[in-house]
Amino acid sequence: MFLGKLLTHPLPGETVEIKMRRHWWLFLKQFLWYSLLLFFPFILAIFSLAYYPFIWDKVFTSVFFGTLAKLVVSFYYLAVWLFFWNAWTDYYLDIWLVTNERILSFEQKGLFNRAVAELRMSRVQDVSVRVQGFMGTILNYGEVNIQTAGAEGKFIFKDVPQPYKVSEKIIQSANHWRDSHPIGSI
Amino acid sequence: MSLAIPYLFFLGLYLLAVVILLFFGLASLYHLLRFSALSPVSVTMTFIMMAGTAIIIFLSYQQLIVIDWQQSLDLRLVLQALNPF
Repeated sequence: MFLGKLLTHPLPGETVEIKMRRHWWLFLKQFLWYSLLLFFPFILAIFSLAYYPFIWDKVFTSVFFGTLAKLVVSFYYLAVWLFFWNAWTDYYLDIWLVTNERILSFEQKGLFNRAVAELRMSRVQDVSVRVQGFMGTILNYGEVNIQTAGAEGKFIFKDVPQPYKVSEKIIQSANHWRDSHPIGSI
Repeated sequence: MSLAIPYLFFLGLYLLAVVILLFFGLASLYHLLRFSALSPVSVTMTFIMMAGTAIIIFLSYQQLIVIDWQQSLDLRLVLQALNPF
C-alpha cells in the first residue's frame, strides 16, 4: 500500500489498519447519471425527429443552425466528460485512514477545497453507526460517527463500506491504545 | 440598418467556454497528481479521461475546421427561418 502522499509524517511505530473510500455504489450512481447524459442528445434527436421534423429541416438546411448545433454538441460532450472526470476525482481523493495511533480524513470538497483532519486515538470517546435507505442496507454501507473528547465534537466517515466492521475496528484500536498508554504514562 | 453578427463571434464564445472547461479539467488533473498515490487505478483513469478529452477536441476540430467562419449571420433571415408559418 503506497501511502507516501497521505501519511507524509507517520508517527513512530504507526501502522495503517484500515484505508477506505466511499462505497462504490455512490460512484456507480454518478457514473450512470453521466452515461445517461451522454445519450441524452440522441434521445432528444429521436424525439424531435419523430414529433418536430421541421426543426431538423432547419438544422440541415440552414448553415447557421448547422454551425450552432455543432458548437453546442461539442461543448455539451466536453462538459459532460470533464464534469464526470471531476466527479471521479472527488470520489477517488476522499480517503479515510485508521492507524493504530490516529484517524485521518482527507476530503476533496469541490475543485479548490481540500480538508484534512486528524483525530488521535486518545480522544476517541464513542463510535456509532448509521445505515439508512434501501441500498445502504442491501449493500452494507453507511455513516460512522466518532464522538471525540475535544471541542470539535464529531468525526464522520460518510457512506463507507462495512460500517459496523469499521466501528468495531476503531473501538478495538482505541482500547488497545489506552491499554498501551495507561494514565500517567504519557 | 445592418443586423449581422459574424460567425467568429460564436466561435469566440465557444472557445472561451472550452477554455473554462479545460481549466476545470486541469484542476482535477492537478489534484490527482498532487494528492493521489501512483496506483494502476489512478493512472488508468487519468489516461482514459485525457484520451477522451483529446478525442472530443479532435472530433470537434474536424467538424469546425470545414466551416467558413468569415460568414455573417443576418438576424432578419434567422427570424424568418424560425417562423413556422
